[in-house]
Amino acid sequence: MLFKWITHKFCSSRLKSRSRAVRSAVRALEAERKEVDKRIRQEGKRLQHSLEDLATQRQVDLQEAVAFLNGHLASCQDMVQALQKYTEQAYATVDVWLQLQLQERTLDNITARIELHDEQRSFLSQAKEAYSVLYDEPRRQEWRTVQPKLAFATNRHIQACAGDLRIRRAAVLLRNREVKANLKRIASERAWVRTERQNALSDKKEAISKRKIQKTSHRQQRELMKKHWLEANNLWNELKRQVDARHPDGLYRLHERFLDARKHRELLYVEFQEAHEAFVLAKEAVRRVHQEEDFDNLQGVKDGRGLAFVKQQSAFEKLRDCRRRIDEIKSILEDKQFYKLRQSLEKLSPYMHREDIMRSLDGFLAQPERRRKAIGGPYFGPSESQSKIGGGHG
Amino acid sequence: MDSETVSPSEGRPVTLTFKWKRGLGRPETIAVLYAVGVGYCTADRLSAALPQLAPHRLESALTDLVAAQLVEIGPDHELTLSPDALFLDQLTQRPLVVNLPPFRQEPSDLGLTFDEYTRIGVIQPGLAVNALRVTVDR
Repeated sequence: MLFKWITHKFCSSRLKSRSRAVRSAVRALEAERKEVDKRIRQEGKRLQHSLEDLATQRQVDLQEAVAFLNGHLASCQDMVQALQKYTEQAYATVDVWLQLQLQERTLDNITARIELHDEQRSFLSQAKEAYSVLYDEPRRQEWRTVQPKLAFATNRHIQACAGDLRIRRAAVLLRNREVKANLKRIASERAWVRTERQNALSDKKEAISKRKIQKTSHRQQRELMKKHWLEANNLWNELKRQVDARHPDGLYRLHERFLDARKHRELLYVEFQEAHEAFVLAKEAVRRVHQEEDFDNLQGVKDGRGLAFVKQQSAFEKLRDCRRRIDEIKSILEDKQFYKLRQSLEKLSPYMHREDIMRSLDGFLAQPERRRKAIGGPYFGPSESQSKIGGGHG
Repeated sequence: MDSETVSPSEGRPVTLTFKWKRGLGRPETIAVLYAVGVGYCTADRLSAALPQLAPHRLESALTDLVAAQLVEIGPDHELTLSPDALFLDQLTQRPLVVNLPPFRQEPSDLGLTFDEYTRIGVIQPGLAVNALRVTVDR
């Protein structure tokens, strides 16, 4: 019994202490759970805020991108319209220029016609004179034959000649009529030529006034084309500026840097070539000194070679640095994103359109001088496409 | 690949293959073309409809389409598809057999004439000349 009581007492005390421990553990667990729940709630809230921020940021970015896209597309549309206007104007200018050329040809023809009439007139005058001479000459000849005989003429002789003279007179009268008719014909021909010449002169006057009008018109068309070209060019520059502002490195600024570096590389290449040639000459000099066994000059020549080598190395290093810089820029420019955008934008370049127009004019305006007269001018300046990526010295 | 024959009048049959010119045949350009065609006609709706396209790709594709005048922009930045745009894309899908008049030389690099494009069914042939490249299958 005692043992039972002791056991009960011991177990109950153990149970109580255990229960207390369990309760305290449960309380600690509860507290910890609350703490964890709180932390989870806090983390959840933080993540939610972060997500909201991200969503807001994304929304803002998207709105910015959409706003930029809208602006960009509006610029592109303006650019397309400006290019359309420019192209139409360029063809209109060419059309007016061709009409002007036609007018010039007409004027040349009229001038040639007038010259022909002048020549015809002088020919007719000469013909008239020649005819008169030809007409007078046989009469005079006849008179010269008859005149010496008249003083010694007898009645018998005169009577003998009378019949012959009548025949001759009749023949002369006939010829006289014929000659008069011919002279009249020449005179009427001259009158006709004079009238034609007058007509040609009035045609020339008209053609000159037309040409003047067409020249003025052509000048106006060219001015208009220049205006459209400048508008298109301004829009193009604005478009490039917008795209540059959008991209951190500046798409077109980078391209300009690339072009500058390429020009610089060419200069450096020339410098390197010169330094290399100087070094080869110095090497040659050393070799010659060795061959000729002129050892007094050897040190001086060797110093010269060393100097040339240093110069060559320095030029080579500069060239290498420049090439590296070009490669860096090129790698950015040829980056897919940049490259595609550049390719897309190139289609809106007024320079490309100008080249297309030029190509279409090649058929009938092959000579550059004629093209320049038709649509050229200072606003048709150097081509932008001459500066493509790549090319030049390796 | 199937081919279609048009203009059954007398003439010399020639098989033509149409391809988009550089830039216009890119997947994103075609995707944007069709998206605008089915009514996603603003930049924000387009970017929502084509989330897989980064803004720069969208920008590049739209620039190509605007430059080729396949898409026009209205006053409220609303995009309008040219009536020929989807038809031109259909032309690029399969070769086309056309009957050329006997005296007509085979289309060179310059492609078909405006009249020939009109006979095929293109409304604005200038646009087709600008946007498509034609090759003759011999």
